[in-house]
Amino acid sequence: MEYVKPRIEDSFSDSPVVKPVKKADLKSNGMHLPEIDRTTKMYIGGKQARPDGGYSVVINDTNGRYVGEVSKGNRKDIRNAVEAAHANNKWGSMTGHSRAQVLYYIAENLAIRKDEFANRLVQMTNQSHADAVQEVELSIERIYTYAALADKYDGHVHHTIHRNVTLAMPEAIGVMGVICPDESPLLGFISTVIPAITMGNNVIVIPSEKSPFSATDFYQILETSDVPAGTVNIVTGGKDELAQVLAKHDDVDGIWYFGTKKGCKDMEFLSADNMKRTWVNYGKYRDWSDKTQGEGQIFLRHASQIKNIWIPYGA
Amino acid sequence: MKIKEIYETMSYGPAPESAEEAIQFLDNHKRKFNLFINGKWVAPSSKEYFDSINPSTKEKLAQISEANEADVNKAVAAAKRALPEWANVGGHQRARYLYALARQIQKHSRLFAVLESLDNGKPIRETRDIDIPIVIRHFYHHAGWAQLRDTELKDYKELGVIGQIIPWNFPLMMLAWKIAPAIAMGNTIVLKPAESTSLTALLFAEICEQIGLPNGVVNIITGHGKTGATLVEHKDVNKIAFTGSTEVGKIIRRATAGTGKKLSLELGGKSPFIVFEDADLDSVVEGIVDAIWFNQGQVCCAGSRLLVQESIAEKLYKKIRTRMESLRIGNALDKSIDIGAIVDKSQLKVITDLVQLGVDEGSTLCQPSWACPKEGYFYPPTMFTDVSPSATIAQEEIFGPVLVAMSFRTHKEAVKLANNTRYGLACSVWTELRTSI
Amino acid sequence: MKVNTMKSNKNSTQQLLRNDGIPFDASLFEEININRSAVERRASTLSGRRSVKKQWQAAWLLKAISCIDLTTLAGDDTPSNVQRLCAKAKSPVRLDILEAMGMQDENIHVGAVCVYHNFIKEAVKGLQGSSIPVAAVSTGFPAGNIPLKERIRQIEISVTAGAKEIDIVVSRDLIIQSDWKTLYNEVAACRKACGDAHMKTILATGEISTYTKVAKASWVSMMAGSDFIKTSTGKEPVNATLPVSLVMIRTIREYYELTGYKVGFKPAGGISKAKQAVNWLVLIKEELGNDWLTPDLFRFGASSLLGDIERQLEHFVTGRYSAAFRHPMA
Repeated sequence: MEYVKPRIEDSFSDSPVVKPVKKADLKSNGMHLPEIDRTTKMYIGGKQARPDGGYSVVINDTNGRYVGEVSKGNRKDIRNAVEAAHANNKWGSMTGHSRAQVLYYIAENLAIRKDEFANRLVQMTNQSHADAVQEVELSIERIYTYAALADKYDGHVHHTIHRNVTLAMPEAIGVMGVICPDESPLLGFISTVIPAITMGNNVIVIPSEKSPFSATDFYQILETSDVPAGTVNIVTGGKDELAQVLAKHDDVDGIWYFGTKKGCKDMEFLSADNMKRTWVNYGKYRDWSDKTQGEGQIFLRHASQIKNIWIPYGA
Repeated sequence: MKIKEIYETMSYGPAPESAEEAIQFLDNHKRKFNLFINGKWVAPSSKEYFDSINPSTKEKLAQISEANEADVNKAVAAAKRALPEWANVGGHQRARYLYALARQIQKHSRLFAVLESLDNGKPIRETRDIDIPIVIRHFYHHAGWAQLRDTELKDYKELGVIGQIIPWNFPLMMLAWKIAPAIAMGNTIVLKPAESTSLTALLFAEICEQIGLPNGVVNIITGHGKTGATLVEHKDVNKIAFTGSTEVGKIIRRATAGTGKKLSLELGGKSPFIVFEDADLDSVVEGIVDAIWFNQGQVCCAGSRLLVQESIAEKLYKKIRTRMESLRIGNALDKSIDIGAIVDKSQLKVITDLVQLGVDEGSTLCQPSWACPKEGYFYPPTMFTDVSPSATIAQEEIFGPVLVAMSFRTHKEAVKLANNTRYGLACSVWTELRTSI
Repeated sequence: MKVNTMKSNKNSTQQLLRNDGIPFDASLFEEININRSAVERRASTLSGRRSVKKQWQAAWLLKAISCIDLTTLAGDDTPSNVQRLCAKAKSPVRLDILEAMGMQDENIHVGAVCVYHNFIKEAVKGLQGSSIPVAAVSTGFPAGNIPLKERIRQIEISVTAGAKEIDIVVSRDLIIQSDWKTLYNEVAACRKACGDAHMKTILATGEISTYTKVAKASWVSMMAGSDFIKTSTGKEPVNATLPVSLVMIRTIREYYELTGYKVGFKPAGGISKAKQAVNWLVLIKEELGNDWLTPDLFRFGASSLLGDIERQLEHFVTGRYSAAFRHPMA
C-alpha cells in the first residue's frame, strides 16, 4: 500500500464542495424575538469548557448574517485538551465491539435530534432544508458504517519462515489532532472524527472555523452517548493557528488536516520534530456527500498503525 | 597446524569463503563504477569518484561515481519516460519481470553474498543464510503482488516516479524492500544506495540488464547525502522512500512538506528486549545474540535495551557474559565467525565514543577477554549493566554491538521502562507464560 | 582472537568426577519452560555458524571416531558379526590413512562397542588387548516395558558378564505422566545395580511430546546418578535431533553449575554422516565447551557413521572421493 494510491483521489476537486446557497431571506431576518443567549463553550475532558483567553468570535452565515458566537480557543486550550485526551485510557482499551455500541448510540441520539441539526446547518450555510436533512441523514449513515467496521477492521495473519503466528494488528495511533474541513460542517466533522475514534484514538478536534456550531452542538450528543470523557475534545477558534499548536505538540501522535495547501505544508513541516503521522489533503477537496470519496477503510488505515506481533509457540 | 595438535585442542581453523568471483566482478568494471541510468552505464557529470572500502581489511575495493544534480535529473527523467509503458504493461507482465529478477539473483546468490560481505563487513554467514535468501523471497513475494495487482488492488494506482534512499546496514535487502514493491505496483524508481555500500546495488543493476528489464524502470545513482537531497527535492518525484537516521528523516519530512510527495520513512530505534522471570533463559541468551550482535548491532530494530526482571537479572547477566566469550569475531568472509566488521571508520568512532560516555556516566562495562583483530574496523560485543534510564547510552541509538541492561520489578514497571523512549520501533518479550504478554 | 586453552583428553579423564546424583528435589526443574521456537532456531543456525574444513575437519572426524559407541543392535546379530565389529572398533581407520595424517601413534579407537545383553561375552573376547569398554543395552531394550525387578536383574547379569557401560531404558509412561519421583527411584535403583559400570540413561525423546518434558526428564535422570543421558534407543520413529540434544545439554550445563558433576551426553539413532557428526561436535563445543569433547563425556550411538567418516578421511588424504569397499568392513 506504500506504493499505490487510491484511484478515487483523481476525482477530488480543487475547491471545496459545497451545497448551493439560498439568497439571504431578509424578511425572516427582520423582527424576531431575541433568543436566550447561549454561549457555545468548548468541550474538553468530557466537560464544557470556557476558553482560557476569555474571547469569543462572531460567526456569520454564508450571507454574512450574524449566527452566534463561539469560544476563541488558544494554545492553552489545546494543551488542556491534549492532557485530557491522554488522561482517558478507557476508550482505547475497549473492544471493537464495545466501541461499535457507543457509535451506534451516537447515531441514535443524532437521529432523535435530526431536525435541530438540520436547522443549524441551514442557519450557518444557507443551504436548502432538504440538503441539510440529507447531510444529517448521511452523517447518521456514516456513523453506522464505522460502527460496523469497528469490530471488523482487525488486521491480518502472515506466514513467516519461523515457528510463529504473526499477527498484523491495527492499533490506535494514540492522541490525534483532527482538523475538520470548513465545508459540510456536520458531515465533514462526522466523516473525520468518527473513523479516528473508531480505531480507539482520542482526538482533539478543530471543527469548521466558518461554521462551528454543528460541532459545538454535537457535544451534547457525546455527553449522552456513553463516550468516555477525553475521547473527543473540541476546541473552536482560528483553524490554522490551533492546528499549528497541535502539529508542534510533542505529545500528539498523529494529525489529520483538511484545508488549504498552505495549511497542509505547515502541518507536515511542523510535524517533523516528533515525527507524528500526518494525513493532509494537499488542497484537494473531497465531496463528503459522495460515499466513494467521503468514507471507507482508507480513513481507518490512517487512523491506525500496524503492530506486527510474532508469537512463537510450542513447548 | 598439525592434525595431532588440532585433535588435542579441538580448535576451529580459518574457513575463508573465496572472493574470486566478486573480485572478478569488480575487475570487469575496472574497479570503477558508473551510474546506471536508463538501462545504460553512464559516467557521472561531476567526473568525481569516491572509494568503497572493505571494512574487514581497510582495503580499497572500487571507485564509485558521485552523482550530481545533472545526473539526478537524467535519472528522474529516464524513470518518468519509462513510467507510462511500465504502468500499462499490466500486472502479469510485471510479475514475470519480478520473477526473472528473483531467479537471476538466486542464480548468483553466492556472488551477491560475498560482494555484500566484502563491502559491508557483515559475516558471510549472514549474507549467505539471511540477507540474500530474504532478498530472493522478497522478489518472489512481490512478483505475486504484481500478478494480483489488477484484481486485488484495482481501486488503486501507481504513484509514479519513486526516489529511494537506502542505508548501509542491509544494502541489498533494503534495496529489495524498496524496489520490489515499487516496481510491482507499476512505479519506476531512482535508487541511491548508501555511499559506503554501493556495490551490490550496482551488481543488481547488472542483473536488471541481464533479464532485459525495460530501460528506465530501475535507475541506480550513487553518491553522498547531497545526491540524496537533490533526489528528494526533485519536482518530478512522486514519492520518497527513505530508510536511515531519524535526523535525516526529519530533514526529508521538512523538505517535502506540502509538496504532495508521499513519504515512507524507516528510522531509528532503541528497542526494548524484556525478559520475565519465567523465560527460558538459555533461549533468551541466543535471542540476545541475534538481537544485538547480529550485523554488529547495526540494525534499526536491534534489541538494544535489555530489561530483565530483578529476580533473574544476575543469572542472566552471567549467562550473557559467558556467551560473549565464545563469540568469534573476524574477517567477514570467514565462515566461522559470529561478528564481522563495523561498516566504516566513522561509525566505529560513534560506537567507541558512546561506549566511553557510558563508562564516564557510571555504567558497568562488560566485554569479552579476547581482543579484536587489528587490521579492520572491529568492535567487540559489549554489555552495560547498572544503567539508569537517564543515561545517554539508554536513550540514544548506538547502532553498534552494545547492549544496555537494566532490571525491573513488576510488569507495570517493565512496560513503563520499555515505553520510556523517543523511539517506538520494536520490542520483544520473553516469557513462557503467554498471559504475561 | 584468543582461543581458550584446552586441556587434553587425558587430563580431563583424570579429573573427571563421577556423578553420584543428588537427592530428589522437584523445585530444581519444576519451573523449567523450554521455548521451542527459539531452540529450533538455535539448532538450525548453529551448524551454519561454524565451518570446520581441511585438517581441522580431519582432526575433528578422528575425534568423532573416538566418541563412537560402535553399535550393533539387530535381530540377526550373531557371535561372528559381533567379533567383526570388535576388530573394527580396535582399528577403525586404515593405517595408511592414519600415517598420512601423522596420527598412527595416537591409538585411535572407538569409544565403546555396544551390543545386546546376550553378546557381551563375545564382545569382551573380541576387545581383548584393548582398553575399549563393552556397553550393553539392558533393562528390556528398547521399550523398557518389563518390571523394574527384572531390569535390575538384567543389569546385574550384564555387569557380571563384563559390561563396563550399561545403557538403560526408562519407563516412558512415568515421563508421560510426569511421575518424576518414581522415575528418580527407578533410575537410582538402576544406577545402584550398575556398580562401577557407567550408566547411560535413554530418554527416548522421540516419544516425549514437549521439550519441556525432555528437560525435566534429563534433570531427574541426572539427579538419580546417570553418568550419561542419551536421546534415543535408535528404535523410535524420531531419534537424535539437534534441537532435542540442545535441550538436554543445556540441562547438563545447569546441573554441572549446580553440583560440579559433569554428566555425559549421547545422541543415538540416525547419525550416519560425517557432516552430522561435526555438527554435533560443534553443538557440544559451543554449548558445553571443550571439556565435553572427550569420549568420557560424549558419545555417538551409531552403526554406519564410522564408514562415512573413513571415506571422508581418505578423501582428505588423497583428494579423491572414496568408496565404501575400500575400507575394511565391520
